Amino acid sequence: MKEGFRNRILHGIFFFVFALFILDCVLVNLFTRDLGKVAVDIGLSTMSISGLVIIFFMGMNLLSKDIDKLTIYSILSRSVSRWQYIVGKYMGLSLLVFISVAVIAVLTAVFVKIIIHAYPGYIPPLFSWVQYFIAVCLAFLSLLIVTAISILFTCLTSSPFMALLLTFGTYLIGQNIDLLVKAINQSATEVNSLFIVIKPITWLIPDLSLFDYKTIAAYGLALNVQDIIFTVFYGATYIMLVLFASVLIFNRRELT
Amino acid sequence: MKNNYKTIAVGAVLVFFYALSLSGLSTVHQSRQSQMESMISRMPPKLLTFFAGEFKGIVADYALIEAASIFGKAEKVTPEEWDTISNLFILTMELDPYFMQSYHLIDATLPWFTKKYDLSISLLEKSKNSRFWDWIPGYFLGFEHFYFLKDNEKAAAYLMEAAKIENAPEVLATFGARLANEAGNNETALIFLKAYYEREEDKDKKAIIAKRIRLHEAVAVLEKKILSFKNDFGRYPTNLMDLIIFGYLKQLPLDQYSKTFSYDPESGQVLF
Repeated sequence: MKEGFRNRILHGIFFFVFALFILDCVLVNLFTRDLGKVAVDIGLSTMSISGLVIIFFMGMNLLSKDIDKLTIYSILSRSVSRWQYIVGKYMGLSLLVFISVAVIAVLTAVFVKIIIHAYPGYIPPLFSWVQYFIAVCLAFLSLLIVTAISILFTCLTSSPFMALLLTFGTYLIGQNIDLLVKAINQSATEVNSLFIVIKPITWLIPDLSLFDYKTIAAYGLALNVQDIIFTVFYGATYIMLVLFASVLIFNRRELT
Repeated sequence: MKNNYKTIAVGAVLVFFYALSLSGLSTVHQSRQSQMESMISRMPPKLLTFFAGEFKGIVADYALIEAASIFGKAEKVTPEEWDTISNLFILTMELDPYFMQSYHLIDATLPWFTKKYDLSISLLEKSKNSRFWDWIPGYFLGFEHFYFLKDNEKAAAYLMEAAKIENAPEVLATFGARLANEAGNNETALIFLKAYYEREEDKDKKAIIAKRIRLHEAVAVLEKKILSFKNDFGRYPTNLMDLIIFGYLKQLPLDQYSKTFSYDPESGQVLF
């Protein structure tokens, strides 16, 4: 955690957030309708981007640095077991992501509030803070999943660059897995072998599109409580499984 | 000293070439901009959706800004640029069919400047289906059918559907009913207006609708008598006064707006 704060990338991210908010003020003025929607779009997208940047460029280095600089030995020799080390790294990284998400979510809310106050007639009529809060929470959960995957690939490969590529690939496919599932369902009767091969992949890769509530938050569309409960349950179990696999792999890894 | 002169000379030469490069920059910028425009607008919507991932909303906003920047430029928009704008509208509606700005821009441009009615209607349909709380896409669809396609039947259907949405102005109901009558569906218009009247709580709006119901009821009476006349004589009456002369009516009902109804002896249709 401390290491994360010492890292200059975090400063860069907060500068990036600040720059994006200035951009937010400019961009919103380019539109004449649904201004609240544009502000929520930009704010929540900034939130996801900054979370991803933390995971991709900072999180993946934290583990590999420990191994490269041999500091991992001093940690593991202080009666810290390997599983505690992995879970600790995950928690620390999650906390950094949480801080970034919380700061941007609050700033976005302030900006939306200003727009609601300044242009009350230009806000989607169904807009509600409940949907906004749920969208932020689910976006955070989605980032927690990506964090867990990044830990898994860092444990699995010795190269941080390879881990970054694998995590990014999983993220990109995960965002579009519903398209893949639809395509499989449509062609399942015609090409059965494709179904058998690809279907298990859709179980392995997380369906990150389920956590994307940005449109729902931007327009205040109706929420299905059952869907949210299942999504949270799915996300939590997926994270635990991935961390479990990470610990198993890390336990067997030679650290020389 | 000699070295200083050399440095100044080299600096001056570099500044000269830099200034020269700046003069040609605007042309490069324009050409690069058109390449960028074509890059996103020529992308298949599904592919863009794939790469947009969780950032569909913000990519849709960008596509719309790009469309508006082409449309809003000082020079006349070329047919190729209209194709680019159309593609950007397709992309933005694929990525975010809820956005109010999109359907407003689509309605303000495509039917008026490109005559791409089918495209405009299909995009507005997407908007109407997504924005179930908003009466405006339905109203735009009704208007396009009425004004551009001269299809009163479909225009009436869209307007009457839009009128049912909360906060929709009552003029959608009355205009829709009027177009339904012009399309030969006065009975449908009457049923719709009576249901609308029952549902409406505002007293002023109720009074407007009640007046309109009486108008359509008068048309219904006239149409019934005109049909009886045709059954008896094998032709439509020459004018509405024939209905009194031949004993079908004791007096003509009044059009509460223009006092007399217009009548087409060719089709037997009563209009107001």
